[in-house]
Amino acid sequence: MSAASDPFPRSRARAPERADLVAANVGSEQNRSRMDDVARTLDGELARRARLGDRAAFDALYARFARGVHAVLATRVRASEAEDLVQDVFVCAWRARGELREPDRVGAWLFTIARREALAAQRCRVPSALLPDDLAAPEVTGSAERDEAERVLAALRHLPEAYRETLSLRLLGELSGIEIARLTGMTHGSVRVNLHKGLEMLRERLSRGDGR
Amino acid sequence: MKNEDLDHEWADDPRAAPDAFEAGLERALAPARYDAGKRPLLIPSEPGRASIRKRVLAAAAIAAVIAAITWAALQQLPDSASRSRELAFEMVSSSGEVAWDPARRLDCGEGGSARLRIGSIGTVELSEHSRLILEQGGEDGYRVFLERGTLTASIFAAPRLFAVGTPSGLAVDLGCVYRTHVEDDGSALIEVVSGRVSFEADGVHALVPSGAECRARPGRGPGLPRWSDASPELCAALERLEFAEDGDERARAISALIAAGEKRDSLTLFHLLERSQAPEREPIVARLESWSAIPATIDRSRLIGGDREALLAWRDVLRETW
Repeated sequence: MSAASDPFPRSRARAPERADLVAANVGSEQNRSRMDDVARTLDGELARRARLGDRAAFDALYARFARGVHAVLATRVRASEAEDLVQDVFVCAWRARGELREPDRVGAWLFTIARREALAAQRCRVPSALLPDDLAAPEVTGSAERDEAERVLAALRHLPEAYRETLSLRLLGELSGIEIARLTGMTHGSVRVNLHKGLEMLRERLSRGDGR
Repeated sequence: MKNEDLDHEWADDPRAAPDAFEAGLERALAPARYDAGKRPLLIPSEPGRASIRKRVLAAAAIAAVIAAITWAALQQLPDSASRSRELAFEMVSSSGEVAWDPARRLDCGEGGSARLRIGSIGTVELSEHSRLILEQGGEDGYRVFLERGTLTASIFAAPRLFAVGTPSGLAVDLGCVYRTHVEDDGSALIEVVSGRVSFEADGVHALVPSGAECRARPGRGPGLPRWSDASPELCAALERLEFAEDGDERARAISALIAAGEKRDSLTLFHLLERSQAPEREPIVARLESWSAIPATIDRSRLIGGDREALLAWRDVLRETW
């Protein structure tokens, strides 16, 4: 979508990156949580307009949440499959926009659709198996960087579910703890615990060279 | 929560100053990070009124061809699993927006509802905005998966012959009428009208009798069952326990649950006892025995110790009030 057609250029330009959200004063946690409130208000406004059929507003939501949606998907399916599913999630969300009951929680709603799409993809692929043993098999990417990323992702996928998604939202989705709590419905304490324990487990798994 | 509270809580947010390990992970994952700027969102345009008729006709033609091919294929593969499911699940009635694939699934959209016959053991009714996957049907049992929405099952068969899977756990029929509801986030609620249901996930189980209900969440499995008309105090205590973050919070929630319970709530407290750690068991056992004395054949210390055999023996006594 071109910048000219963006109904909320400020939110579009600033919302995707948490660092941008707090660009004025990165060191201030107070500013961070207040900017999160601002982002939530803007998300709600975009969602209300998208619900009425405003495609430009929906594109802005896509720019804002696609990375987070991908982070949710990547903990459940292969990275390449997750990239394709991101589009499916937003197509599904656009078609179901009339069912969005709480516009201020549009991010959480998108994540829910993402989890459902991932589940459907898993069920189509291997019935009754959430994480098949071969899920973590490295893909042929032709790039050492991509291979390393896939190795980390494979290790991530083997963490307990609660740690897996929280950590993915942090590392892959580049979301702050406050944002993760808001978008997943977890308490701040739970997010902190999941991040801390998840990082420890990931460190242990990677240090013993276990990418599977 | 006030901003100031948040500020304090996240004052040492690891992201504010990631350590070398986390920073390394962020660098390593950079190539896998989704870039929305490079992948514009492509949404197929929704058909206008004029083109709908053409599309419907085209879809009907394609469906006819697929049906013919499928029919021909099934003639050559008479014992396929899908045919088994076709024979096991039969549409009895439907209304509103319903999509029915006899070999795979049933979808009910806006205003839709449908009733299926399950072999010769009973029926299920799917409500609007629901999706049911048909997983298994035959002499070995019948199993469906409720992806979302509401399913009411009326089953009259031997225990464990019919089961409803949900993203949060498996509701195994023990001969009854019950309703299963799955939210968009995968959490599930079982409400039993008559008979009993065993709600199970990852080794955790809840026995839900007639008049009771049980919630479950993905990754956590079934919570503690309670009577559908349990007191508000007990419901509040249960909710506190479900979301308790640490040992102290959990201990307070257990105390509140014990205080709020009355004799018939032994249903909830017994399940709590089964899932408790040793230090938590004494007050739970004390409360339960204030309602129903422990039989002389059961050693109280074995109950406190969490002995499975003793627990099951006492459960059989307590179940007389369930």
